[in-house]
Amino acid sequence: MPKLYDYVLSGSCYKVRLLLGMLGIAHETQAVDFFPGREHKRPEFLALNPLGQLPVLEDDGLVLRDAQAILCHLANKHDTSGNWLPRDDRFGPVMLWLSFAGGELMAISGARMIAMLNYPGDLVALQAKARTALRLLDDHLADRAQAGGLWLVGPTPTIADIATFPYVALSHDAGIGHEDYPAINLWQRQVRKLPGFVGMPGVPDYF
Amino acid sequence: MADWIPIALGRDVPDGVTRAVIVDGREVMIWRGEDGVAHVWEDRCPHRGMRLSLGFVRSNALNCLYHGWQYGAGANCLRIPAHPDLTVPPTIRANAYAAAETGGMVWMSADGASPAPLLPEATPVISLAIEAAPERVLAALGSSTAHPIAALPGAAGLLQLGWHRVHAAKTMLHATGTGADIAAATAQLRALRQNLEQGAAA
Repeated sequence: MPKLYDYVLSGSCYKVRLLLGMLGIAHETQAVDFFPGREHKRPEFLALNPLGQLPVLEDDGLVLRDAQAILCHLANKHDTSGNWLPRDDRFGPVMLWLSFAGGELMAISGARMIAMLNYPGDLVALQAKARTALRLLDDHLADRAQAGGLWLVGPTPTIADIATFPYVALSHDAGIGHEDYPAINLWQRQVRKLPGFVGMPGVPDYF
Repeated sequence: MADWIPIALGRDVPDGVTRAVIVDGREVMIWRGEDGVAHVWEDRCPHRGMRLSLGFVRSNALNCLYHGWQYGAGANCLRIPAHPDLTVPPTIRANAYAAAETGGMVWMSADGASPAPLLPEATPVISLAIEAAPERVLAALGSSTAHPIAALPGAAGLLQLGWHRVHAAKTMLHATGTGADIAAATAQLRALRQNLEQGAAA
């Protein structure tokens, strides 16, 4: 059974919890005391992930770090529909948005750690980067909506939506509302309606 | 605050949806009941100050996410879940603005003293936030902040642009068109956004 090393307030762990829920994958979780215990920097955890980052997934002897890699693994192994990680022309665009979710969009995570947990850093600079990323996403979703599409890529939800949703929904924690982003506002409601959706602190599971 | 202000495209607030908007520095929210009627309220629950835009619509009532206080279309509190047997006093109310929908846009007025404008139906194009003062945005459109709507002719067709002031240095445009090429009009407006923002940075 897959085992997720998890921290409840982590948006990156939440990506994995969302897909586990939507695919209905039986799993176990082990809570890691990220804050204030900094358990992810202790030797036992560094043996699992030398980068000292959450989440980590153990599955049949495989030890995987990076939320996006874990989403790919879970969809590859457990999704019988083939739609969550499509292998046709949608594959490249799904990878593009996974990279965005683990890259530019993580400015929201950085801003949130400063705003919520008093981490050191430049909050204003990170908020500006976060807004640049959110605008790019909103423009894309507006174009998709004009073409009749609900999701980031293609006619069904994919792991691109799952990877992107958490930090968008958690941006309020980083002092960034959704007032400027009407298309994001509508898209995230569609994500919340998906069967198997789970919430987390700051992301209600009803709408 | 000006009299009647367009604050969103009606399309962007479908039935059962909430939407947060900042209007001249004020936190405002729009919600649409399942009867199709759009409401514009202060984005603040009178109970504990929670943003009502984070709440949820059931039937034709809005529920605060925090403690579930439920408000009807008249903005009065209908139900307090922690006190299910209580007849809620009529003094417990959300702060409602006057709301209207015309020309494909949702409009608000602080007092509703004058009648809302009456515009022909139009196809929604896009709402865009622009990091530039409304005075600059409207000047670039060949109009001024004296008017709630600016007309923008272009290759994509004739657009009607509603706008509202987010704060001194940010404007939100709400574009509709009649017979417009939506994708081309969207591209035209994004180019305008880029020009105005680069001008602001220079």
